[in-house]
Amino acid sequence: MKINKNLTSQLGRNADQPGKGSDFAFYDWLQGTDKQPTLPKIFLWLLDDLKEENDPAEVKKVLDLWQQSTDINEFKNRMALLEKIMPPHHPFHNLKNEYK
Amino acid sequence: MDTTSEAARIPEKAKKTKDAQKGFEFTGAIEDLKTGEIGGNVKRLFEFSSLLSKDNRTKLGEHLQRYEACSPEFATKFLADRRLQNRVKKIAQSLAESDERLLSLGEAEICCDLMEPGKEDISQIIEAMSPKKQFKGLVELKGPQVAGKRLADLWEQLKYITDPEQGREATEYIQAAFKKLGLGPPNDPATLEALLSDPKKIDLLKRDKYLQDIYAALLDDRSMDSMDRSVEFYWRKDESGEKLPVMYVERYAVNPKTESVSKLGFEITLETEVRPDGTKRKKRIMQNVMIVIDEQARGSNEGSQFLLSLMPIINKFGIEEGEFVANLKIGSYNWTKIADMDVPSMVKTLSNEDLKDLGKDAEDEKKAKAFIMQHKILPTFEKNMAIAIGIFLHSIKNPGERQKMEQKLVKELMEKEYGKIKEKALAGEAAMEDLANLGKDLRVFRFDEDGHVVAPDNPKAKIEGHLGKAAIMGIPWKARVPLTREARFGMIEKLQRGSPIKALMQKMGILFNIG
Repeated sequence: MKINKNLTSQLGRNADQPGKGSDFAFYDWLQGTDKQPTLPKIFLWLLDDLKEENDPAEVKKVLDLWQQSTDINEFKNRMALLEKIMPPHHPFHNLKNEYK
Repeated sequence: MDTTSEAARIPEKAKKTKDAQKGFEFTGAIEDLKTGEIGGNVKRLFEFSSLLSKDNRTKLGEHLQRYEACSPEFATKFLADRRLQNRVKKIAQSLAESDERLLSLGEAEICCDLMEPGKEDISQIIEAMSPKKQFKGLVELKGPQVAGKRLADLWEQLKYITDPEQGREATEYIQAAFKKLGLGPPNDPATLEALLSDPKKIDLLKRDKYLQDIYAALLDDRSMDSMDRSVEFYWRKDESGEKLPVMYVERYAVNPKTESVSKLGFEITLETEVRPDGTKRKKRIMQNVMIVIDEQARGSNEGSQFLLSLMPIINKFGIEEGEFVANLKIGSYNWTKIADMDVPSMVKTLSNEDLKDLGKDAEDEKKAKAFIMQHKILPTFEKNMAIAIGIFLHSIKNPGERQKMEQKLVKELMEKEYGKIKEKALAGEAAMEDLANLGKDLRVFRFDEDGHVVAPDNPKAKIEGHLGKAAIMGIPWKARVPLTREARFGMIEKLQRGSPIKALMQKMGILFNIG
């Protein structure tokens, strides 16, 4: 049996009540514009997780992303941060010179 | 000849086989295994299965197919392969940790097909989806209470049926099925109470085959047999008729002070991907994400804690992509920053009539996108634009001022600017963000907390925004995001726009000595 429905979404406050459920607060919370630092926390987690990455190609993707999305000073700051926290044999150390 | 020595000369293996044929209780062992009990019965099952005669092997294999929903291949392998037996054991034990159990060995087959070997501890996912654990002050709903809530959800879904005739039929059938048991409609609190005090009625409802069909059609192929569980396994057929494994996890908890119900859940499944060179591979995705949160329970750190708890799950179980439906008022807008419309997923949601109109263009992503824009996105966008502008203009008392704004909003933005974007969209070349950015610099509109446009002087006006935001809010669309490391970093960049690390870390109270 196929019953065609309109797309529904259940994300946020009152999400399962038709007509309600806008939830600005939910999305503020999700994207970190509220008082809670959601995005920085996830960013930190991802940084820590990046230590587990063995594939230089995958690390390069992240560095390329940052180079495109941040200005020169911020990019330099992030590279300095990785220099400090990536373990000695991490692929980052072989790639960093390509970005000087 | 001395019979004792004769008995002694029978090889060890044959002796064990004789024991096997005398019997350990096979069905008892399977029942124990399904509940995660791996004591004597199950041990003997695994020990003796490799020693079974061909006849017994066939008989037991047939039993597994007929009563345990196993495929012939799985049934055969289960009786012979120690590694598969261990995987099934681990799955059952993991479920038991979350107070769940396998309903059939066929469910273990689905889980084995879905997850890589070594990734059987699915209780990690079930536990992460507990609203009681994630948010403060909630009481978990279990068993019959969950079944009752799901039936209420089913009733709510009727509102979204596109064909009024089909909607009417389904509504009447459900009402009749409940009336037969002396119950009112599923969303009536008295009905829930009646079901809880007499759970046998839930079993009777489950036996209604047509009701089962309606339930599956409205709730993404799920089964009423699993209405009272927090985890469910089933097969779903894709367009080419291939069976794909699905695991659905969903948990409920109630705030006793307000009676509002929170739920967390999502589905993990495999999708066939055709590579550029024509070869196929299966990728693991998450979809049908449910995050319904009680307003009071959502306090200081729960949001980030919840998202953080998803991160290791994405890593560990190898989830490669996530599909989300943005249609909450503000969600439709925010998601445009993160992703664009996923055309293949949107095509899957089209009605049969729409699919007929779309025809062969369904395979051309640009043409399909143009079709979806034309029929599913732009009409509502245009209506919303007109309403938002109308409300705003109506609130301006000064005629000169009103005329000025009318010129700006109607002539320049709605007609000229939007006209250009519409042309792009009808050629399949516009992104959702193009629509959302319309009139970005003119943040004259005001919204209440439910995302409705209100006059600026309305006391309910809480949030401000521009025309594109007002127009796109509430339009449902599907976004797909990859979940690789780079992609997750990328989402953060898009939401925080290359924010300085120092500022981010300071917000966390962490100072790095950089440079």
